[in-house]
Amino acid sequence: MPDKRVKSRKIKNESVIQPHIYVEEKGVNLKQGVKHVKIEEKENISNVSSEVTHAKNKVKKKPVTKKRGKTSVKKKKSGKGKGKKKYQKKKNFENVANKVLGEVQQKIADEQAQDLHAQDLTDHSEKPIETSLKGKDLTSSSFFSSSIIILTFMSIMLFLLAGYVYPATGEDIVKGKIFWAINNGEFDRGLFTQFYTSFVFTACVFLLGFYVNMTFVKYGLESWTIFSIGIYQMFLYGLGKIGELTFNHELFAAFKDLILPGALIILAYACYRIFKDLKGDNIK
Amino acid sequence: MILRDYYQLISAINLVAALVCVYYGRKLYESTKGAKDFWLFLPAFIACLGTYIIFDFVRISFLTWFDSPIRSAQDLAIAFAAIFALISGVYAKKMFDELLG
Repeated sequence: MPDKRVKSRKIKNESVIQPHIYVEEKGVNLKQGVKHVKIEEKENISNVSSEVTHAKNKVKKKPVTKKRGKTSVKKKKSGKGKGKKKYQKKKNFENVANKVLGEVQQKIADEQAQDLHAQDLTDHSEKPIETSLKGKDLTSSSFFSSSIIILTFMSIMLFLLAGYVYPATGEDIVKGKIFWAINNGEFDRGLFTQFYTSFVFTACVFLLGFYVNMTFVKYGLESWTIFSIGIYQMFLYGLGKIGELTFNHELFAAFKDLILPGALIILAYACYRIFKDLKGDNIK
Repeated sequence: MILRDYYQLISAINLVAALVCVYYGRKLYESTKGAKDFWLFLPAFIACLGTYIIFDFVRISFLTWFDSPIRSAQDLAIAFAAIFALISGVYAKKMFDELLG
């Protein structure tokens, strides 16, 4: 009798311990398996499959259930029904694991495709600039970077000088003593909005030219030098427009009408060269 | 030589050059879409400049009696061109600062 009591106590202890371990192990293994997949998405898929097989092996442990008031150890029953159930469980687990694997694979493939696409886009804009900057002495500056301010200042001074040297007064207009290219001046110029928009345009174009010279031209990117010349001509056009409105003289109108086509042609050629450099030499 | 007689020829040359600028500006934008902000505002500046030239061509060649409204539209186009020129200049500097660290 005493032996039986001792025996039953042993069995009780075992049955109390084992299910907790089983549940914990199963839960941890499965969770770990999924966590592993989530964190290391971009690594080799075989790691995930090894985790799955490891988890499968863990499932094969002998299950122990605890009943209220009673302790019992599940005995291994032989028979087709039990084996079939086990097989079904295994199959279900495999299906779930394969589904997870498939989803992870799809996710990795999508991310890789996105990365390639983004890389391709950035390559077009940054690669030609980066490759052309390689091997260049970045501390040195080209002629245009330091001369743009001097050129700008000189242009403004020249226009101011011209305006004061050739002002068209009322008497000049009556007597016909104005710029020889036309018969008489048109004095509906000098409108408020035109003047201020021309002023703002000239200032902003100057800043664009300045920054282009400080960046692209300074580091010797050739197409951008042509672009910078076009921008400088646009700046002169702006000055001519301001001079036309301020000084009321046809000299400025003629100047701006002649310089604008030149500026646009140079800008068009520069845009073509820049696009060609950006795309490489494979433009058709 | 009277320059006024050649206004239409000059405006036609301006139009062709501006259209070429706008075409390559658009190509630049399409090829670098989503890459950097500079590549958005530079084509925008070129597009506004092109709009200004198109209005000028239309005013000189066809619609001489709509002088005032077309001049106002030109002023608007040139104002936007100025804004985009300024922004693209700032972004050019920013892009190079990022590239060079």
